[in-house]
Amino acid sequence: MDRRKNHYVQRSSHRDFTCAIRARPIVPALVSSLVLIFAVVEVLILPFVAQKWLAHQPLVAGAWMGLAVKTDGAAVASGAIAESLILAKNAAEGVHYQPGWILGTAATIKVFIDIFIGVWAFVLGYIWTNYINLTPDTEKARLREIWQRFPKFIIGFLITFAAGLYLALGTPADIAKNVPAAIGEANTFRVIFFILTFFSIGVLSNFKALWQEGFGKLAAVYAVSLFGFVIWVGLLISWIFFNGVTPPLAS
Amino acid sequence: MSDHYTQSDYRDELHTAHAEPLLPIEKKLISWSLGIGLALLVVLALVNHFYPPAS
Repeated sequence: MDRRKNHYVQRSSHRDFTCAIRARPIVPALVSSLVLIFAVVEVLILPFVAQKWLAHQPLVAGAWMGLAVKTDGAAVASGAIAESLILAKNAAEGVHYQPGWILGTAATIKVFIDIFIGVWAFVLGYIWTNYINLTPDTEKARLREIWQRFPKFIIGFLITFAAGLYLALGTPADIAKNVPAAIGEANTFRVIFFILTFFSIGVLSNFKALWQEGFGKLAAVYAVSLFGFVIWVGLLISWIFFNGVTPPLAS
Repeated sequence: MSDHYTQSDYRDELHTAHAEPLLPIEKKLISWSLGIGLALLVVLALVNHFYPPAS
């Protein structure tokens, strides 16, 4: 226990949070490598699974991509691929849904997950440093210190969401009808960022890591938890909340 | 972050890793997290079912 305590209370750079949750600093690096590798695997598999079995539940598929695929870029990319596949399958059956709803659902779900991860990490970090790992020779984490380490982009997500909701609810119908044209203009940037997203995922993926001595066992544990648990819980939650909800039909 | 570590770092770390059983407080945190998650899932599913009311 003492060994652990001495190890936890190091106070430098990003190690603090991992120490606070009792992880050795290298562990998050190992897990982040695994997350990236398996995110690529998920991007290649899940959208096709969604097309096969969830083509008639498009928003369940979108929410599933957002919940099950790790990392933001990969989740949104999966949403985009799933949308193309599902819209194409439905179009072949004579049903033409408006584009953007599946991708939008995946992206929105992912952003909400990010927000709640931020909130939960903050709460856990506060509880751990102030109540659980508190020793006489360590001072309580000050509010200022917690604020300095808080991931500020989460506040940006919240503000953007609130501003978007306010604008969406308060926009008169005659202005709202011009929004699709404005979104079309912004699509150029979306395409550029998508290309960058796929490129970044490829650059960061280190499949060689899987063949490192001893790493395979860790990868096997992650694979079992991801494919045996996380994906199915994500599907269940998506089904509960989006079952029967379909995008509007294209006019 | 992963740039700070080499492949030999990973290998050494995995070789020298000791088993670290969960502390009682960690078990308690996991239980509370799962409990809150399941309870909120039920509550939100009910809200989603009943609101907005079907017209």
